[in-house]
Amino acid sequence: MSTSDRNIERPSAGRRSPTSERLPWPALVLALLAIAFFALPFVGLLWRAPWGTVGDVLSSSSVRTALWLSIRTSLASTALAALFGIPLAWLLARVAFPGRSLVRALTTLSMVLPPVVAGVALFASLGRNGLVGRYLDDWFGLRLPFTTTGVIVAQTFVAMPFLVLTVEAALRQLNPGIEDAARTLGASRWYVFSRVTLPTIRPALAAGAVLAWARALGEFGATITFAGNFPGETQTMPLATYLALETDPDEAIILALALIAVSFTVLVGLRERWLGGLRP
Amino acid sequence: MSGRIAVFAASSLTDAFADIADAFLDVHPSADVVLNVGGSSRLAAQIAEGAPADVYAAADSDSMAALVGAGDAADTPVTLATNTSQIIVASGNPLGLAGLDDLADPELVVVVCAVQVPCGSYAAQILDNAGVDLTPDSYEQNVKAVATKVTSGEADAGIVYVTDVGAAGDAADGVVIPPDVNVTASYPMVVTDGAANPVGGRAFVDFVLGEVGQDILEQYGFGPP
Amino acid sequence: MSLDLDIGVEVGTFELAVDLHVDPGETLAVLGPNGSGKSTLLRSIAGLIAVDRGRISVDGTVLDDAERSVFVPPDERSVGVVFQDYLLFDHLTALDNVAFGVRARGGSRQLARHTAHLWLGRVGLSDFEDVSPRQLSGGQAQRVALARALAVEPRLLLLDEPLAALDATTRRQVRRELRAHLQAFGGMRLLVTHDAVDAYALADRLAIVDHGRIVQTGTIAEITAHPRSAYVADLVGTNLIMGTVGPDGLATTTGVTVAVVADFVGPAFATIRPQSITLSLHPADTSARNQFTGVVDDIDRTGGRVRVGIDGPLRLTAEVTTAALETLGLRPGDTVWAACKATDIEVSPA
Repeated sequence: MSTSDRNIERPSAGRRSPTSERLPWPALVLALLAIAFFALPFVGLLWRAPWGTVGDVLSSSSVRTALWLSIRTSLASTALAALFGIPLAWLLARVAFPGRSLVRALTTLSMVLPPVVAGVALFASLGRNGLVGRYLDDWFGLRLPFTTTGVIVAQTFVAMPFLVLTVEAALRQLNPGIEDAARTLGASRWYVFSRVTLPTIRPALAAGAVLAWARALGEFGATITFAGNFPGETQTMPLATYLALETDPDEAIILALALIAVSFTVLVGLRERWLGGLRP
Repeated sequence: MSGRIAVFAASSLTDAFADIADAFLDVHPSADVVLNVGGSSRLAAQIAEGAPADVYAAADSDSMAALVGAGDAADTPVTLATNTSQIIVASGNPLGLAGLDDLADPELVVVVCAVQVPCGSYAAQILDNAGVDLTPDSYEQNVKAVATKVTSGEADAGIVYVTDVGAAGDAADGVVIPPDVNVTASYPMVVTDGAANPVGGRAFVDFVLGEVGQDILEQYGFGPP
Repeated sequence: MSLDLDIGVEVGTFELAVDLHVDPGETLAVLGPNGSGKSTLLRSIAGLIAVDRGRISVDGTVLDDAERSVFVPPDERSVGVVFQDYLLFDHLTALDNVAFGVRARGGSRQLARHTAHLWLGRVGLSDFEDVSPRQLSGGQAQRVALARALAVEPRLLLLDEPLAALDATTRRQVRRELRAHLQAFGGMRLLVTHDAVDAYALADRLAIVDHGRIVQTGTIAEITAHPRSAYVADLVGTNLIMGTVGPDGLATTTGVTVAVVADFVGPAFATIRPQSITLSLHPADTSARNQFTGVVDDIDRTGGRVRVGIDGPLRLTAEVTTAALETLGLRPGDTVWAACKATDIEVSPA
């Protein structure tokens, strides 16, 4: 056995960059299996897809309605998650108040809650006879179940924690000194927040928003339990896919692929510009 | 008569079959009946994909036809019971709904099953027969979900099976749908071709068709086969 | 038109109680070890913390008055700060960093960019306008931070350990440039540092702070001659000589040339520790390259040390033991010879 056959790690003389590092083979094997694990379901979908009927299915109005509804609601939920989530993250990261760990646990709780359970909880609180829901109905005539607003509420509930936790972590890591520096230069608190803090945490904010959006887009259990299922109003793509499974698994496959295609496109498109800054 | 018997049954059979299973175990103590309930067509699809069912009981003939067509039926299906639809409302019928025409009121929150499940297609037929133009607030994935929405107060009314109104007990009341527009649902049942326990499966089917089984079904409001 | 403060600030178990005065055109260095309260002082003046007692006013405007509940937030104070690790905004270019303050105060984008352009030019970084702070060297970042603080024309400039983050070589050069910029700045200047040499090079007056209290203020010469405690003496008391390094040594303004070991030429300042000076009643036969004569005009015995002030072409303070003093029998008015090795003299470009 010559020297070159032995598995000696010779560090390369040049600069050590991530692309030139070599993995020990057991780790490499496991990593490849992981790749296969993730790729297989998608490959399976592509293999079983009834490509001949794709055009018909995708051009049907019910599919387009569901897709458009999914996109609309998930974007709205992400926006709401950011609107309420960023201040919450700021509070959790910077202000030491009594009960802070409880609040943080509460935020995490809704993230690990099974979606159907979340749906039932939303029912109990915001449904027609719910704790708060009954007043919403009596006083404002505002009904959430069976409405698109209800879908957005359900999605926001499950998606917001992802954004809160990501942004909170970023704010904690942020050097508060730069905010001090900005204030001494004459920036008001709002100016500091919008021109210094937010831009500095932009990669984490983008990552959190993408996670939240993906969660909202895929939301099913809470939606079907709380918001119901009506084309154009509350029938999002996951619901349409689930119901298609009842009678036509082939159609379900096509719908699944459509949703995947949308998600994939967005993720790839965003990756470099916004998530690129995630490198340490 | 022993071993595990996996019974895949339509949602509307949930309560009746639970009682029938208990009764079956009284007679065959060394058996073990496992019930899997859900939408009839979904269950048929699962069986086609290889789900381990010994017996399949559907709420409509289309789902059974799909199963037979896929070659998953061991015998010729037999009808175990019939069912008709009824309007389900909150206990005491507080809104005083009298019939299908009342459901069309846009102020009402009405839910029905999605057309992809049997109770949904029946509902659609019934409304069509009655000439009522109803836009429901939601199409639920199975009949139990419709019943739950009404009993929890989230919806004012829904169209379910007579048996579901009965199963809801004091939590709901029913409003009759006239027989001339109503649809009768037939519940076919069969032992599956890939059954792990075909002997057990046939024993269960026979039990359902026997006196004890039929009594239980009648108690729940099902019609005779 | 000055900075006046007389404050007490509590941070945890630490208490800072100081009173200071800085005139326009003057640089005061607050010197003390880490933990002595320098940062707290700086942050109070900048408005990043509120004082618990007392008052801070700049040019007659009260910035903070604990008893009268007056507090001007940092963004409304005319106080510029250069922080120890510069704290540049990584998401902005150097130009935008310098322009930040002008924009934040409502200036138009055009005005801000123009001002920033001017200031970057003044600190010699015109070629670096579009560079990200991450790509700047320590010295360059410091200059950007300085330009950024000065671009909004503050009345008071605060510097927090301005040279601490630099390596030795860069430090010398930056120190020299910083001195020039500070002198060009017309307002009040206050810098905090733990490095005595930085204080000598950059400041006109010193305030020595220890455990949250100011223990002595004065010019370097004053403190060297009369350190109020051993602590002060150790920290800062030294002889400071300004001049120009040439082929023969350091030529001072009084005509004396001091033999020094220097690897550069040009304006410089030299420090001679009092302990490095040996005294004799007659010119000594010594290897020391420097011998100066003068008349004893002051003998200070604070803190168990003896500091002898010598007046001559070079004003010097020498430190000797009590025993040595006895042996020499020195008294004010006596002529004495002070010797010092060239290698004992620290020279830095001015």
